[in-house]
Amino acid sequence: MSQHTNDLDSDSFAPLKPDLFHILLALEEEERHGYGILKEVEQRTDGRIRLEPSPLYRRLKRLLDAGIVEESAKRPAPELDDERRRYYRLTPSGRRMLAAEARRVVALAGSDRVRRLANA
Amino acid sequence: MPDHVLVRFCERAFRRLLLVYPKTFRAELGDDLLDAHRDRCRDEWEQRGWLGLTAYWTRTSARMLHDGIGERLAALRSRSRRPRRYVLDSVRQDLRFAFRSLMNKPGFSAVIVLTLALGIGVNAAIFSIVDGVLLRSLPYPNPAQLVRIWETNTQADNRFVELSFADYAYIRDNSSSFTATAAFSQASRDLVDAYGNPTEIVIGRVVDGLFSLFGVSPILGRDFLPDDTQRGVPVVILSHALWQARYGSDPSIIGKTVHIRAQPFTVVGVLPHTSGYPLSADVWRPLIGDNQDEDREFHVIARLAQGVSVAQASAEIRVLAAQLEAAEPDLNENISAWVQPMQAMLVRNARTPLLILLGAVAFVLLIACANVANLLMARGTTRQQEVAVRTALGASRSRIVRQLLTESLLLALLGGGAGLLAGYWALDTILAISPQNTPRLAEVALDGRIVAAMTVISVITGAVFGLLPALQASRPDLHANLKAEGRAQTGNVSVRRVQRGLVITEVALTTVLAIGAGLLITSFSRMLHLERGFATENVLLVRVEPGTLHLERNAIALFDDVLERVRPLPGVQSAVLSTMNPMAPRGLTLSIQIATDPDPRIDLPRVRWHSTSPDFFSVVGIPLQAGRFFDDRDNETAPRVILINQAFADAHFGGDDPIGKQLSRPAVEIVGVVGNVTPLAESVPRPTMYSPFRQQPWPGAYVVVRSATDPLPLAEAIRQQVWAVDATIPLDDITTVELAIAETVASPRFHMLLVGVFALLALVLAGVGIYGVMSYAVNQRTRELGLRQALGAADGDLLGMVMRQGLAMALAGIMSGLVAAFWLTRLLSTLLYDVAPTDPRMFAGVALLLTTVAAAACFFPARRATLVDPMVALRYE
Repeated sequence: MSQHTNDLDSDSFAPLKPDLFHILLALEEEERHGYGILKEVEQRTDGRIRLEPSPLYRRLKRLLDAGIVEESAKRPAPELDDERRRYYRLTPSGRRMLAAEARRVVALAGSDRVRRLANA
Repeated sequence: MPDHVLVRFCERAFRRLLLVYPKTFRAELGDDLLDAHRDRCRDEWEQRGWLGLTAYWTRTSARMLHDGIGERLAALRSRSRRPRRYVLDSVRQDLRFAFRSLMNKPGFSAVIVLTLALGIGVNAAIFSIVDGVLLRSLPYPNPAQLVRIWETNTQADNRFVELSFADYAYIRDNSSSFTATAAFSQASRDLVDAYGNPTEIVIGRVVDGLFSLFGVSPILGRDFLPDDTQRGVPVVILSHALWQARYGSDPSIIGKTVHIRAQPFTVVGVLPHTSGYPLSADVWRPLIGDNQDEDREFHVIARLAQGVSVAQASAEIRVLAAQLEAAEPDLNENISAWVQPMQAMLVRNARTPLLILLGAVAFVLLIACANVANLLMARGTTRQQEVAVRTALGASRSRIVRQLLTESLLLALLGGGAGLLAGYWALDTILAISPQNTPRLAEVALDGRIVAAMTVISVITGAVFGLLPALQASRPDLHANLKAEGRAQTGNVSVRRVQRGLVITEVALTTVLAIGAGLLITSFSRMLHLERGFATENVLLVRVEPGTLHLERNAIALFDDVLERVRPLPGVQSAVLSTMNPMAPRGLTLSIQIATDPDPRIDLPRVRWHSTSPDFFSVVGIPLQAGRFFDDRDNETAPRVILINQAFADAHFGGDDPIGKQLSRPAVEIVGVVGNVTPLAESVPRPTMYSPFRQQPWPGAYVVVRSATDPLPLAEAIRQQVWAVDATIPLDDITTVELAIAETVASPRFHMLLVGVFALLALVLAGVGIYGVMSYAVNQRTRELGLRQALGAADGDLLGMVMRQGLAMALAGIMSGLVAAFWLTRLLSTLLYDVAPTDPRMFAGVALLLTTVAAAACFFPARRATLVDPMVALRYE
């Protein structure tokens, strides 16, 4: 696995595909289980991005293998919890990657031309 | 709240589908993924009910298949990254080992390679023909757009009617489905020039840009110009074949003059080599106004516009045909029109026989494969000890399966290679004997695609039929196999069961093939021995067609001259005249009316009509049934008389004696009844009447020559005599009745030969298969047989026991084969003459034949069973 983590510095994920970006964004806020990620992305995008479980888990597998996401040991309050479920959270390098992507998006959105186009 | 049953069903289904994912993925994320799916299912169910759930289930199933396979591929890629060297090494090792083990048993390997070569060889050959004739697109640009336009006579149920010029022009001017249309009509004409003897050619009269429609332009000279058609300029374009054969590829032919039916034409172009119909005429000329009549003689070709389908074009011209019918009801009553793809049109008669041949070779291949599988399985069982040792030394099962698979793949590839060589040879042979009227034969070749297809088939054969024995042999029963110490297992029930199944299958396939071949052979022999109603030996037919030029000259005088010169030739016994070719007694039909018929009908019956010399009937051996033949009294000045055939008498006079009866139309008296002449293509003889040639001369007839020996060598002398009378008469159509018969049965003979050979191959293979399995069984049971013998079993008992087992297997195959043949032989019905596809005698005969073969194949192993020495067998332990 460590071998893969080193690959991370190369831009193997960047620029992030929209669904990947949204997955990371959902995990940035709090630790979530798989279905929680789906619901969060769906709400955040007003239903525009509707992830299906199977592609989501393929992505999660990649992210886990690459050390961007890891399994969380922490649990929410017991009454909300289903003990079988696994929760995921961003690793520090995941956070760095998300931040880098966020900067890229802002830089893009900040350019005059993009702003002009958006207002047109 | 418990989940709805549908939700639970989905969950179960997803759990199954999860198996598509690689094990690592399942272990890490599988349960989680299923949880997410269940949550989603619940949501869908609550929000959208069963519709939403079903949609989700369908979508997700496909998605999971896709993702699972994707994950597996990804896992494979990441795994193969490191140990590639290792994999390559072990493949090399497998190959080396496979070679060595095949070389250890050269007989076994040779039998397998030969068997496969046989199966692959015949398939390569027939596949090449099917590909060249049926599948490959026509050698013109955008061939799929080329279509033939037909009219159809809905009342006469004739779907293949040519168009009249007016109909063609109307469709050309009013349809929007085509980017180009062209038409031509064909006729036989005599060609006379300074380059050789007068010859009969097929001349095509072209309307509009026929050649450009096919994307063909002359290699010498020019295409027709619109002006040629409009002004009726007498110009011609020669076919490449005629230019080569008659004019020796003379490059200065352009501008020279040739005479067709005594009219001069200027050569303006030479076409490139074309492959058969529609560009098959010898000489082309533009259609000039004189032929724009009502005759339905135009072959209409069109090119579909982009995006227009055949069905759409058909629909459009059907409407146009309806408009034509409305405009001119008397000309176009019941006439509709349709469009046929050119390719389908060209091969429509060749299709069924070729598909049947393809089926036959597929059977041969399957039988060969069954044999190979049997041999490999027998081999696998004898190698169980070797496998056990290798397993004990640490080989994994997959490694052993791979080793065994490598061996069978190697065998399959060797067999495939040998098969391709055999295929080249078989294709040459088949093409040499194939009937010349098969379309597109010139395009047939065993090319790269066939080689590729056959290689794939070989590999699949090797993989499929090698895998089963490999799995079987590698089944880890280490303890028992190691203990066996060189003695193969006696009780490998499942191997024997599979072997039996394979033999039963191949016997069944062979039964079907043998019945098919038997039917074709019977049909062919019935054709040959058909009672034709006339003598077929030593009869020469010379068509003498002076053509329209001589219409005004007295045909009687011309033919009198010809006969007078031919009769004294040495070898000629008799020479007579007839407009009828007894091999194809078609020709003119006339309406008749019988004088005594009390109620003259409006639709008069039509009968065939021919004109003959008085002694024609005795010369060709058509028997007189009643009355008299013609004689010299029946000349120009005598009362008009006719002979009728038996079919005429039966149809129009029933039990009455027709002799002396009069026809009022034409006004003639019947003086005799002669026997029927049955052509091959017709099952029932048609009513026919004959007139004396002197009373009804015709500007074209056959000179029928009877000789004591083969009359063909007389042809040249007869030609010279006819040309001495008139040097412009083309004399290309000279044949003996025997040759003509051979020609009409060429196709049936071809199909019979091929299916017969395939059936024979199948029979041999099936025999070998039964023999192999029985001998293997006897070998495996040596100990048991020896024991039985030691306990007092007689030779006859042992022989009977083994024979019974073998025959039971064969009979099961024969019975299944008979049932299958009962359904399959009806596909042959269009190829059969005078024999039913389910002829019970044929079925019984083939069953008997196969039983005999099976008995013979069982006998030798069974006899070996009786020869087992009890002492040796017992020491076998």
